[in-house]
This record gives sequence, C-alpha cells and structure tokens, in this order.
Amino acid sequence: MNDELLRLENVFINYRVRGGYLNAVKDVSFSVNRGEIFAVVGESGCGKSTVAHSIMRLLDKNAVVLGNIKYNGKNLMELSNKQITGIRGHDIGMIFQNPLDSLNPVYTTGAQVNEAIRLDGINKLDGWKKVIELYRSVKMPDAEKRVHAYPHEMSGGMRQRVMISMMLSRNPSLLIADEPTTALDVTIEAQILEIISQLKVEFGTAVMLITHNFGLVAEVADRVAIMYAGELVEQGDVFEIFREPKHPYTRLLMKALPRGTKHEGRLQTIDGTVPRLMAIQPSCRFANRCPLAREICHNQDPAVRALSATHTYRCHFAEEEEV
Amino acid sequence: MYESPIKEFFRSSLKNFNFMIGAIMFFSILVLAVFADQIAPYEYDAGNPAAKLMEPCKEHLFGTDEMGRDLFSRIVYGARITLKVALIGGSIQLVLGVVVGLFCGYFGGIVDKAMLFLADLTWCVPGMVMALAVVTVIGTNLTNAIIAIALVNWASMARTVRAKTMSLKNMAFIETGVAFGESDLSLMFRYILPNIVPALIVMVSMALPSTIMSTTTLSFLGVGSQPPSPDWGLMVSDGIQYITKAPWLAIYPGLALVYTVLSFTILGEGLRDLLDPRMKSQG
Amino acid sequence: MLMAGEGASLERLEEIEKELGLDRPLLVQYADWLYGVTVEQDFGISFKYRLPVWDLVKDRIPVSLRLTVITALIQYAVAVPLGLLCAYKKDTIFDRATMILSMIMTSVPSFWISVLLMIAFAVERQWFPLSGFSTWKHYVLPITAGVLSGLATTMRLTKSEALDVLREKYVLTAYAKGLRETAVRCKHVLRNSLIIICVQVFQSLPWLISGYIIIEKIFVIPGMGGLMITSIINQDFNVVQCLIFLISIMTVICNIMADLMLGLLDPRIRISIGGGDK
Repeated sequence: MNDELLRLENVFINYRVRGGYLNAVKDVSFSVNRGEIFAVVGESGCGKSTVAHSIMRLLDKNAVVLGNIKYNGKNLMELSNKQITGIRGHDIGMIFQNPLDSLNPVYTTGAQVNEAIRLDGINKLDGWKKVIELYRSVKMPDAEKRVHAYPHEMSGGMRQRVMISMMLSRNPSLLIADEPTTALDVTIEAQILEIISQLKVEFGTAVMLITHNFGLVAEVADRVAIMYAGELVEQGDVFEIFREPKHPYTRLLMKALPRGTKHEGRLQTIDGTVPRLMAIQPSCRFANRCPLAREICHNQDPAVRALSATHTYRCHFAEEEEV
Repeated sequence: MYESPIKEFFRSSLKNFNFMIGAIMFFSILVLAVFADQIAPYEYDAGNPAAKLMEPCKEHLFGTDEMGRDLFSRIVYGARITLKVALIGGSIQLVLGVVVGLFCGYFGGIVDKAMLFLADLTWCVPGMVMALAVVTVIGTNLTNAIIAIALVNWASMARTVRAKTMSLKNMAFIETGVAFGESDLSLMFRYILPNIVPALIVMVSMALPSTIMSTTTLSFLGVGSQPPSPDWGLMVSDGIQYITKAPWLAIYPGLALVYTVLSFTILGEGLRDLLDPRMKSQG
Repeated sequence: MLMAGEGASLERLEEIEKELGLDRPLLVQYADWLYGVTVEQDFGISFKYRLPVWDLVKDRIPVSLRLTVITALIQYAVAVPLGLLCAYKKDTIFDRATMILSMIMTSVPSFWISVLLMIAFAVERQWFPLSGFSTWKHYVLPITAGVLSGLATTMRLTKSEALDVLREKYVLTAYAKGLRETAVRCKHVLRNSLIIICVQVFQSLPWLISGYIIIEKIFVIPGMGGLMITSIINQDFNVVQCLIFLISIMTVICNIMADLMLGLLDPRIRISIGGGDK
C-alpha cells in the first residue's frame, strides 16, 4: 500500500448541459504506483483526457465529478481551493498536448518556468540557475540562450521540453502527460518519450501517460488501462495484456496495430465510431461495435472480472475466443 | 416530420424572450408612426402662442414648446421620421453592402482591391466627421443626412458579405451552377445571395440602431432635419435653449429615441439568437 | 456657387471665384493649398470671419485634446475592470445585469446623456455650470457625458477579449503549475488582455474626438467640434477643410501609435518587424 501514489475509485464525470447532464466518464477505478509509468489508452473522445484533468480539478465549471480521487491517501475532491492549488505543480505536475498553446506567448520560456520554481520560495536569481539546469537535464540544446527565448521562437520538441521542465521543477512525485507527443513529429516524439521514460530512473517520478497510440504503450509503459466511451474496459500489467488481451475491444486494438511483418494482409479496423457523451444507462458501451455482443450487453453493466491480481477487465463474455 | 423553415422560425421566435420584447416595442413605434393622425391630439406644427411652454398636464401630455405646439403630438409624428431614417438608411447600406460585397468576394483580384480601397476611405476619418464633411458638400437636410450616414456605414456590411461570399464561392453547389452554364451575375444573386440572407437580416438589424442614432445626431447638430420638422434630435436641440424653464422639451424626445433604438437593439439580438447563434460568443 | 447664395447673378459668381482663386484648375488649387498648409501653416481665410483659419483653429486644438485624453483615461479605467469582472463572472447575475445595462446604454445617444446630466446637475441642483470653459468645474459634466457614452462599448470589448484569453490553454497551464487565482488573473489573463485593450485605447481616440463634436456644442466649449458645426452651417469651407485635415492627421497618428503599441506588448509581432531583435 505504501507504493500506491494515486488511486481513483468509482469516478464518474458528468457535464451539466441545457436540460440535464451528459456522462463523460463512467465508473473508472485504477491506481498508479510510485515510480511506474501507467498508460491510459483509448480513442479520441473516450474520456481519458477528462479523467486526467479531473485529478487536479482542472475541468470546466460545468463538470461534476463523483467518486474518490486519492493522492497519498488524501481525497483530492475534498480539498479546499487553496489546498488543491498547493498540490498542483508541487505534488502532481501535468503537461498537455499542444505545447505552443500551453505556453503564454508574452513571456519568455525561462520566465514561465521560473514562475513555477519561485512558488517554492526560491529567489529570482537562483531560480534562473535552476531553469538552466532543468533545460540541460531535458537535453535542450543551447540551454543558456533558450532560457530567454519566447515560445514562438522554439520548435515543438523544444517547447514540450520546456513544459516538462516547468512541471518537474518542483519535484512532484507524479507527472500526468496528456498526449504529450501527439502534436509532434515522429523523431521528436521518440526523444520526448525517452525523456519521459528516464524520469523514473533519474527522479523517481511516476508518469501517467495518456495516449491514443497503443504502440507507445508497448514501448514505455509498465501498466496500462484501456478506455472506451468513458468506461474502463481492461487494465493490467502491460506484458500480461499484450500476451492475453481479454476484452473484445483490446483484442481488436491489438489486431489493428501494424506489425513489422509483411504477410498480415489488410490492417484490421474496427467498424463504427466512438459515441460522444451519452446519457447514463446500464449497458456496455462497446455493445454496438462488439462482435461478441448479445442482448444482455445492451441492458446491463458488465461486472469487473479479474484474470489475475494485476489484470482486470469488464465484459460479459470475454472467455469466448470468437474474435 | 418536415416543417417549413418559416413556420419553424415563428415557433422558436415565440420562445425567444429578446425577440418578443423587441418585436412588441417595435410594433408600438410602428403603430405610432402609421396611425399618427389618429393618435396625436394636435397637428405637429400647430402653434398656439397662448399655450407657450406649458408643463405636462391633461390637455398636453408632454407639455408644449416655445411656440405652443403640443409635444406629445410632435413626438408621435416624429416616429415617422425615425422609421423613415431606419428604412432608407438601412436600405442604402444594405444594397451598397450587398452589391459591393458580392462583387468583391466573387471576383476577387482588381475589383476586390479597388472596392476595398473605397471601403477603407470611408474609414480613414472618424464616422461623424466624415458624415459632416459629406453633408457640408451636398447640403443640409434630412435626406442628405441619411445618405451621409449610409455612406459612412456601408463598408462594414460589405466586409461581412464579402467574407461570406468568399467562403461560399468554393462550395460544390457553385460548381454545379457553373457546370450548368450559369452567368456570374446569376451565380452571385441566385445562388450565393439566398444563402446569406439570415446573416444579412442579422447584420441589418444590428446596424439600424447606430444608423438611427447617428442620423438623429446630425439633426440635433442642425445639419439634418430642418425646423419645423418634428425630428426628435432637432427637438432635443431646440429644447436645450429652454432647459432651465422647460426641461421636458429636451427629455421626452430623447426618451422616445432611446425607446426606439432600444427596440431595434433588442429585436436585433433576438434575431441574432434565432438566425446565427454562433455570433453569440461575444457575450 | 453655394456661398453667394441662391439667385446670385452670374457676374457676382465670377467675382467670387476670382477672389478665391477658384477659377484656376483643380490640381493647381490643391497643390497651392498643400503648400500653404505644410510650409506656411496657411489654411486660407475663413469666409465668415475674414480671419486666417489657423488663428481660429489653433487655440481650440488643446481644448479638444485635453478633453479627449482625460475621457479616454477615465473610460478605460472604469470599463476595463468591469469588463474583466464580467468575464470572470460570466453568466452570473452580475454579468447578466451588467450586460443588460450596457445594452440600454448603447441605445442612448451622447447628446441626450449630456442633456440629462445638464438637467440633473446644472439646472435642478446647480452644482455645475451649464456652459463655458474656464474653471475645472466646467470640465466635469462634459467629461462625464463623454465617458458614459463610450463606456458600454468599451466594457463589452474588454469582456470579449478577456473571455478569449480565458479560453487559452496557457491559462490552464498556469493553474496546473500551482499559481494562485490572483496570480493567474494578473500575470496571465490581464497581461494578455491588455495587449488588445491598449491598442483599442489608441484606436478609440479618433472616435472620441468626433464624439466630442456633439458635446462641445451642447456645453458651448471652445473646441474643434464646436467650430466645425458652426462652420458647416455657415458653409465656411476653409475652416471645415482645415479641421478635417487636422482630424485626419490625428487619426493617422493614433493608428500608428496603435500599431507601435501592439509591437511593444506582443513579442510575436515584434519579431516580424524588428527582424530578430529581442
């Protein structure tokens, strides 16, 4: 239990709209341990980003979060505004998808990182030194000069390094990375991923990696949770899941991954599209795209089943090998 | 179940608070203007020296002015002028804006640049100054004032029309029109124009309040309507001379003006909610 | 023709033309005028007063400028915080009420505001003088009228700008870093909104100047606006021409200042102008 850093328990997230509520996240539970890389994977719109933002209470005002989100035992949902502000950056950091939008164009990148550093009481000059150190540790070329550069003067990869520096500057134990490489070139992506995977080695920081790219998960993650339409359909140790995926969606995702071999034939796709926010109804949300779907799938929430202590999934019928 | 868009419009318009209030207010002014002869107890230029500068009372709802004319009647007749300003001024701006905007957006190139240059000219000097300059040259009366203000304000309409034309021009339905052999003029006016009608309605209704206010201001300054016209702006201007003895002379016409402009504003907001909700993001 | 009055005889027309040099080709007239204006500050003679136009105009410029600048300062000092508040409290009662109020205020013409102010404070209560321009008391009502007429629009623009900034991702980053609410609002939201707001200050000056035409007439203030009206009514073209010319120059200067301001405050623009200077 000491190892557990973050724990989500039965989290529901609804959005208030005209005429009622729409559900974005339905009954999600998982935990992230110290120093590990935990990936949350799913298609666009499946709610993974929403879950990530909800942890530090960064969602819009019309979002309603139910359930428990515990960090080191403390329930983050019950903290006052002042307290959650204290957690942000200091205990948990977060980097976002598009680093150009995420940086204020009016201040130099160094100033913005320094802004974070100084929240811990460090004075301005010492802060600048630390910024340069941080830039060096994320392998920013020409660190001393870049400190005075504006965001629009940098490339995408450099900006994401700035974001990482900024969010690591106060030594949080957990870094939430929301699709950090989606907006970057593949070569830069590899570099950023390396920095992220080194974090646990160099600083002991745990990383919660949000992505839609299963390939990334295979490369860097220790454990993974797979989401579909707001539901957590399967989670567990990465090796276990790849070796024996249980949920039909996971299996289809695996099949859709391009492999290195030539004679696989056409890439398998999954028919249909992801539903957007929905009303809350008992049913399995994958039902209308699932090859195994039956009547009960449309009417009843599937229960969580465990294959092992570290591998759980939600399905009525996953035992059948039909897929 | 398909419901004709006009019917649907009326249904949703009834639910729209803004629109209903604006429409009611507008109709009240319209009624005043159309039935002025029946409503107003006196003629607007019927001076009665015996009844000079009387306070509001039973015979004279709003009092009388320095020539003994009943203020209430004058205001009622003044509604005609204000609506005339709205109608003519709005129409000129609309026609100019639509024609120039369509041509610019459709043809691009030199035509576009030339027209944009013209449009920029209307902008290089602040509006009121420009209008005053125009009126200096062409003469000071109400019609010219309306024209002057219209000349100053048409450019923003043209810009909107131009932008919409440019975005519509590349759509597939224009290509089919070209394939049919439609002429340019036909494409502009029979294909593109109907598609921008909702935006036009919103645009005009949002431009009317300022058109009315600017033109009335010109009358106030003495370069628009001339006495004895019951133009509300002119009435306020005359009223200032008697402000110490008869403040109501300046208050009531202004009140009528605010009410009318407000009705157009609210109506405009309502129309905008109904026809183009995306514009609402400006809060 | 317009000046000699209707029904003037042909000879009289020709006489006037000769006197004013109007019989020369148009281009020559223009060149002559341009020369006179730039080199000698000679705008010609006022028809009505038979005095050099410049003499009439020059004392009025500082009056109008003073009024305009003070009004702009006060207006923005009030409108910007209000606009920001509305943006933060969007869709609350405060916001809705303020928006309704501002909609009503945009329907009120500046001349009527002036009249109301006069009645309320100069007639009923005699706190301030009705017209003239010698003491500080004479400033209060006109400036109040000027501020009130533009307040609603300015506030709306500020609110709209603040809303746009609040939607930006870097505001989220600021919160995620752990910055307190006040710090986020001041260092990020305010700073970025101010870019556009400062530009707007300069862009609104010409409009303020033209708006003062009305106010000056009402309160009988010896500024450019008042002179313009009388000159138009008297068809004193040279004076009108001079005033329009001056206002045009001011407009151009204001626009240049606005652009400079933009470059000063927004590093992204600076680069394209300065070519790499930081």
